[in-house]
Amino acid sequence: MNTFAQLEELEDLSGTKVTYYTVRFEGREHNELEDFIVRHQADAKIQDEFADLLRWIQRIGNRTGAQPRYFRHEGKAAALPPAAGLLEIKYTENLRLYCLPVSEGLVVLFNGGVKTKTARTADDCPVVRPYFKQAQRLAQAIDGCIRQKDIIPDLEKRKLIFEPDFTVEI
Amino acid sequence: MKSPIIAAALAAIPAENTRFVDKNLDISEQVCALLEQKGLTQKQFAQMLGKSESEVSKWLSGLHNLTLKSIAKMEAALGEDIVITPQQAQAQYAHTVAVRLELPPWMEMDEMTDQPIVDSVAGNYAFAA
Repeated sequence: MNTFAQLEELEDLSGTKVTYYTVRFEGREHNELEDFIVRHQADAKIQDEFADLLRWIQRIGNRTGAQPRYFRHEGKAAALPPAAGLLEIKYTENLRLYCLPVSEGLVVLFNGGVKTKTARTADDCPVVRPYFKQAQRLAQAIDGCIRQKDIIPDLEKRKLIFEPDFTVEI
Repeated sequence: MKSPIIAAALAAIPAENTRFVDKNLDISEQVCALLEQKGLTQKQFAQMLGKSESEVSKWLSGLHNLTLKSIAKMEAALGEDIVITPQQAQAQYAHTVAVRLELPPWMEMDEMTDQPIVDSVAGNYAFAA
């Protein structure tokens, strides 16, 4: 069965360098980023990771733009935060938020979870696998819509242009 | 769309996390700007530091908990400051003075914004009557 999702601009998070979007699946109370926040904000084990990730998204949105080096590129989608943990940083868990960087000024944020430490890839992890797969499908669908010009990225104004009732089908 | 859930989550970010992320990103941006200025690739920079390219790439990801030792290594390799303290900045720029440039008489100033008036249609500066 096909699922439909609407694109929503995230005004609270967007800055002068990046406009962020997310998707809301038909009939859902929360959009995907809200769902990610609601599921993780009270988890004491990932308090630092969660706060850093949100600030990270906000900061690149205001200061640097969504440069490729600031993402983990995983298949058709990408994940945040970027790889940084090998040497000195010691996050206790592996929080992942999947997304689609359309350009340096346009990013669509999806959903995510805490990747199991023993899992080598997102596909090996029972927790993040559904979000990873969903991100791949959404990224492919959005990319297809851009190619068919159902979604037009305005790179100068950092906006995705689409009809008000437009839905992405996955 | 405004979201009370997202706004509340952003407002709850502790000051310590904000500073950690901001400083990390600032350092990463500063190093990348210096590499560009010196025409160095990340690979060449890694060789100068005696590190692997992937290790340096993680340093420059902007979310690495850089130690002072790592920053000092990068500063030594580049021969430039990456981080300076407010006291250092004050000493370094003590003799710098702000200069206000006089506008030509034909250019109008907006008294509210203290900026030259730009003709929004033509993109030209407005001429004083």
